[in-house]
Amino acid sequence: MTTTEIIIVLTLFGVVIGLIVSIKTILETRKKYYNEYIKRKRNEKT
Amino acid sequence: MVSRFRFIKLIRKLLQFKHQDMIKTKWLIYTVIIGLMPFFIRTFISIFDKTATLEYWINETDFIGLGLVLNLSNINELEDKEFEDRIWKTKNIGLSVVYIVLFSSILAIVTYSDFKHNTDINKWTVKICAILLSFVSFFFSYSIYNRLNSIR
Repeated sequence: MTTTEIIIVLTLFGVVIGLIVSIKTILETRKKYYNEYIKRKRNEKT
Repeated sequence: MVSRFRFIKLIRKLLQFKHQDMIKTKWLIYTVIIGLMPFFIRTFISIFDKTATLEYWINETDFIGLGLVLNLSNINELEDKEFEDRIWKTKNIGLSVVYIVLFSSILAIVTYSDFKHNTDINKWTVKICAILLSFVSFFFSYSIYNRLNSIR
């Protein structure tokens, strides 16, 4: 395996894992933020 | 007199930024823009110097530096804070460390091949890999700061 191929493999590994973790975090954040917003609105009403 | 009092009141209100609201903005200015400084400087030089080439403008070490700075800022921001979801915190710190090792390895390979004038490495492939990794690091860092900014 040449040096360039090693760099390509490491890059693909980094890109795939990074994208999965980032997208998961963003989706979880949106869900939590929405739930917190609903809770705050309910508390304001009462 | 009344309008001056109102003006002072408005200024005070504007200055009452909560730290929470400024996290993403601070990250963008202090980390991302400063991390991109070498690239901006190269762009500035390339615009004014006609002898600058595309290979000079797009330098892999600039993007590797950006990636290192972004991941270090993630660790710095997450390390001292308490989170309900400790697993999330540990996962993100762990991934940032992995990225730092990855970037450092690629930087070492590139630096060594420059030193030995090694033609084994395809320069443009390394540039594209460095840009891709730094873009993913930016996105990863954004996801962390977005969460810190949004959830109180």
